[in-house]
Amino acid sequence: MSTQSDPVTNYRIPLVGAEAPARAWQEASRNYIWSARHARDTSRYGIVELLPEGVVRLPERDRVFHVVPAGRPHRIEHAFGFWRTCGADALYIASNYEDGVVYMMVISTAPSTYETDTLHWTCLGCGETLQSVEIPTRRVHLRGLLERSLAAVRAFNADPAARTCAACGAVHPLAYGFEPEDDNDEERAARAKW
Amino acid sequence: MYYAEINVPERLDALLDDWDLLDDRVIKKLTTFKELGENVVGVRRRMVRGNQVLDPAKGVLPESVEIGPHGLVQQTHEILSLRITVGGAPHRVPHSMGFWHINDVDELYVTLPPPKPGEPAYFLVIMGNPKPSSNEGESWAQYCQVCLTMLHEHYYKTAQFGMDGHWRANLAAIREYNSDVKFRTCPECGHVNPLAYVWNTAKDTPDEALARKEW
Repeated sequence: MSTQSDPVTNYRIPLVGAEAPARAWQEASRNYIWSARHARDTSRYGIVELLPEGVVRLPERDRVFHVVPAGRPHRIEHAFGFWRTCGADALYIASNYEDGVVYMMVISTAPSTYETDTLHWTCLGCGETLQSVEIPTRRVHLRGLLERSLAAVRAFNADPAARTCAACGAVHPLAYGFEPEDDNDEERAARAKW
Repeated sequence: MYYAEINVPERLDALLDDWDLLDDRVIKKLTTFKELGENVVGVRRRMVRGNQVLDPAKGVLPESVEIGPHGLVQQTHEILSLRITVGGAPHRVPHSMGFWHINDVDELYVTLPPPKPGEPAYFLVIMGNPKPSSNEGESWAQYCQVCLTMLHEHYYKTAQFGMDGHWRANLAAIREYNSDVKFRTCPECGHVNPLAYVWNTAKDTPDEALARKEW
């Protein structure tokens, strides 16, 4: 016996209100979408990028629409605890609304050049690279990216030598993955911290 | 604060040109569409009342419409809700697009709230920017309003010709359809459909301006 499903021709993803999850990664058509929101009195999630010149922090504004180009390491504080270098452009949107702040990141999987994501950690004191992991996102999709990122985080956290900078001796704090629901106690504490 | 020791001293604008697409200085460049890396982006400032968008040139735009597997699907506008029209789905906005747009790439829409009540909201349109090496494009189609039979379609290979030729090709498609009533007459049910019109009201002929009010 076979079943037939209608093709999905549109998606509606509420970012606020009762239908919207507080934080979520979703795959919709050829897009990976991260959304989050928090109350107005909570500190905002900063977005930082790693350029050849150093670390750049985007200023806070009431609303921002920013493109992180493919290949540029970036992170959203409290959302994922590593530098992510995505093989596709990442569109970052943040906006105040009446109850707080809402965030969204959209990454299209349509470009054939989007093959991998790379996670890496740099020394917070001197910028030296500590560890790097490449994930074949084209092959493992969003679910595989989330799973493998968490595995990379836990391997990094379990190895004090990997977190210790050979250049300056600073010890990197524990990392955390994409999904807060997956956090253990240590990762949850790290997510709140940096 | 982490990374404090290695933050760069340069001004942000010197490192990241047009880093905020909603900046008043930048938004002026996005009133139609602009190719930005792997995406094409448009930002419109529009008044939003409830679920209705008020366009200064086109009037009230209450919804968008799509042709789904079971016929017409109406979608109302919502602030802070991401909408995705999946590549291949015919869609239009009544009184704004006098044609059905069929894009090979996904189109994403999100409306951000206005800075203050009574000010225009931010209406963002994002779609993929096909690489020249791909085979992707878009078409402007007409369907019978009674029975949804396709009447006319003009294909434009965006990947090869880019956004520069988009508007001219769109206008050519509309003018061809409007040039002969045979295009507008449904071969299935005989219904004579109204004239088509492009997105830009400045291009309307008097007859097209009337058609814009109609559908």
